[in-house]
Amino acid sequence: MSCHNTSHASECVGGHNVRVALIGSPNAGKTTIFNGLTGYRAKVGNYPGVTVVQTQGTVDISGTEVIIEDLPGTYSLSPVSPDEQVVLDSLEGRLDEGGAPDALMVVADATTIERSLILVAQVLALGKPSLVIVTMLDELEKRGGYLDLDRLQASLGVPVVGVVGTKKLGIPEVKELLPNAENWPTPILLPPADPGERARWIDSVLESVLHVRPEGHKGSRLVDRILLHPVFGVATFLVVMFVFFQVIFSWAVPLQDAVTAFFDWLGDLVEEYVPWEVLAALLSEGVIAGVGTVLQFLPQIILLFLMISFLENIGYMSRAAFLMDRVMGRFGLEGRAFVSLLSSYACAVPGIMSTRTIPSSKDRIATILVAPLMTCSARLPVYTLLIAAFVPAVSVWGPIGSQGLVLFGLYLLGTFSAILGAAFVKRTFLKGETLPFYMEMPPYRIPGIKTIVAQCWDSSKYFVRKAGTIILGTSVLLWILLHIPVVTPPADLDEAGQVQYQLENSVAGSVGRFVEPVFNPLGFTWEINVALIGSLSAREVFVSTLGQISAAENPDSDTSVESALEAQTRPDGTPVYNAPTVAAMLLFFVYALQCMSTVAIMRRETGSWKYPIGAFVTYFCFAWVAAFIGNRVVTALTGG
Amino acid sequence: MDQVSMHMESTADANILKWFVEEDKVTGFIDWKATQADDVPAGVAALAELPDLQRVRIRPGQVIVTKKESAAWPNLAPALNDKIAQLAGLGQLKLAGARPLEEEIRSAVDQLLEGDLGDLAASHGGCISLAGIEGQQVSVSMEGACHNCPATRQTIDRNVTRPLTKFFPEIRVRVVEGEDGGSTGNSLPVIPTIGHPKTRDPNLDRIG
Repeated sequence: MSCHNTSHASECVGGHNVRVALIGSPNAGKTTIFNGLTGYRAKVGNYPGVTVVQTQGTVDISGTEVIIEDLPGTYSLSPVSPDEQVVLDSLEGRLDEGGAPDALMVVADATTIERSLILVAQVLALGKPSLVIVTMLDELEKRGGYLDLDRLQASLGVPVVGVVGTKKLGIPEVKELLPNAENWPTPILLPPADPGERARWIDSVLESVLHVRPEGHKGSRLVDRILLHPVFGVATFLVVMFVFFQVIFSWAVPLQDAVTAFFDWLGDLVEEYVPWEVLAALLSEGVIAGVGTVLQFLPQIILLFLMISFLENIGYMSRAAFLMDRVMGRFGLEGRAFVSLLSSYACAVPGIMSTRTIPSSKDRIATILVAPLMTCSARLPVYTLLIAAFVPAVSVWGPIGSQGLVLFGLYLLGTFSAILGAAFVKRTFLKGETLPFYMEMPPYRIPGIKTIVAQCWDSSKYFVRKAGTIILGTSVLLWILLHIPVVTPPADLDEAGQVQYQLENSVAGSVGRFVEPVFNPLGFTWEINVALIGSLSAREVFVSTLGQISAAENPDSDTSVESALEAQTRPDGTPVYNAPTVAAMLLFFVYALQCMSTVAIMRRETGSWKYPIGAFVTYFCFAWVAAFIGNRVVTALTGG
Repeated sequence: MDQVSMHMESTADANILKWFVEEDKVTGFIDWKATQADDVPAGVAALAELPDLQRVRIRPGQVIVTKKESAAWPNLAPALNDKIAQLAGLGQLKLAGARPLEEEIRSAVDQLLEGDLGDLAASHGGCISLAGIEGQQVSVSMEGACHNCPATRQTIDRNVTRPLTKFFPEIRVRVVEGEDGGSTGNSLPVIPTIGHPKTRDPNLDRIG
């Protein structure tokens, strides 16, 4: 909001504020500029669609408060995808309480200036004070291209600043211009609105700026000849994916052991030094056994994020999307949906948010509906715990182990289910044409280590924060619910039996037993049911609850959660975690939508409760049926 | 009507706007001024019909319009834009050879000397002016600091003869003594920068 809009004139004297919107096509370097201007470390990626949520930053420049809005990347202002609609709405002041921006900054990529000028023309045609920022000038020069910025300024009729984002060149110039944004010029003659006329206007401008188109990125073209090859490309892709999962499973182990050892040590300390017994139990069983069990998966999650961030920044993600377009097309989805699904390996929440780059709303909803089937990082602890405890570690072939294979299989199952699910909804209630697919192949760039580490840190921080808030909260709550009301166990039970009796008759235990009829056919005991219900808040809680219960039932043992689980028995003396039950649990987690954050983001992104509730119920039924079948099949196989 | 590739630029003078149009749609040199009752080709006359115009210049690939001091661009510029697009699309701005050769050459030289070359000379305390035209023989005189400047030959060759030759292949340019005989300004040699490829003004390229 500018000064003349405020009701109190006195506010103008010292603090004056200006709202400036930052607009640019995906991958043009917009986020780097935003970060350079505001000092804020927003996520910078090397694939289209990173800025899916609107980010705002405020800078104080010589007494003027400049609010910069980083809008989602868009190729044009004629909205095709919801992302582009956001940009238009925000420019026209339909979006937030601040109203329309006072001035516009549009980012143009010098290496693709022909296309960038379409957006520039449309932004200038809005008739607002504008500034054009030209990025990637270093790359343009390296690839033998040319562009005269002074001539461009004359042609556009608004100030033009060249910026080399990574070297911070040009950022000070922009900063200097910002406080005066309201007075930036508007072109005397607005660029033509008609697409044909606009194209000819762009031709004329390009000639005037002595434009020489850069040669294709030689290295990238060479590498792409292999990586986008129908046969070698797909083969490479499969190898990349396979290595991806092997790394997650094998490299993390030593680190994981270290974290486990740390929490064991911490637990011992607490038991030794906290005098009040109930508090000691809450801390060691509720907090350390609960949250600690989850945090032991932090190394794997860091590795997962590191690899995703690396693939994204080096420019491979766009290639993967391109390769998968043909495959996805067969199932009625486009390549961009694959990028969303791939981000869902980390977490369905950003995955669902990134569907905003998908132009067709039907494709978008189909992708949102199946994204929760992708194996997210929250499932990783559940899978790893169950696999490590119950799948024998046998070498299947050389370095390829059975445990890694089972994990890979679960990922594959999730992915195939997601793709088949998408095909199903696209053929039934979301029938529609597949829009033509076009996606930018960014040049391969050697990513800055700083960027990768920063991104990985941001994502991992989210996981740790989740462990410290939702998971901690649920763990403590469940621990309390497992210990109230305090009951007096029959005197004839031994110590373990008394603990068991207390847990069984607690509030949580009663709930777990109440739902037993539903889960009995799957082989689940009331303990598993409690963990399942707790995991509705976040899947990791499943692991922390099992950790708690096993810690409570084996108070003296120094053993790991895995072996504690193996030791648990049913009333008839058989182990709780027999093969059919474990298979059922794994399958249940492949399908069940056990994550309230995902339900909430589905609600927000589809704008109705219809889809999240429908998905929740459907996936629950699927999970139950799959678990039931799994249980029966394994029972038959093991001859039980 | 053909589709025309064009765009408009503002200039240092707030009263002057410059349209860049595909070179084969706008040709020839014409200089129309509201104050002179010259006979101009139909295309220029049609442009000049728009209100509040002071001057319209045609160069190959360019239409340069000066508005009256009192007028404002907001309505005028779009009207001009449409009109130029229409006339150029109809081929009415192909004006090379529409008038006697001598007159066309005069417009060309005038516009050249008035433009950046004139500015450059002025910035060095000198002046280059048209002394006369006979057939395709152009005479210019170097005045002020430019008089007797050792770079004269090079400057004239590069910045006058060469751009004009593209449109008038037979043209000859010679330097004659100015009326005042020169030597009023400082007589230090001036090193011309205009011809240097790195600082070359593409406007000149488009003229010549």
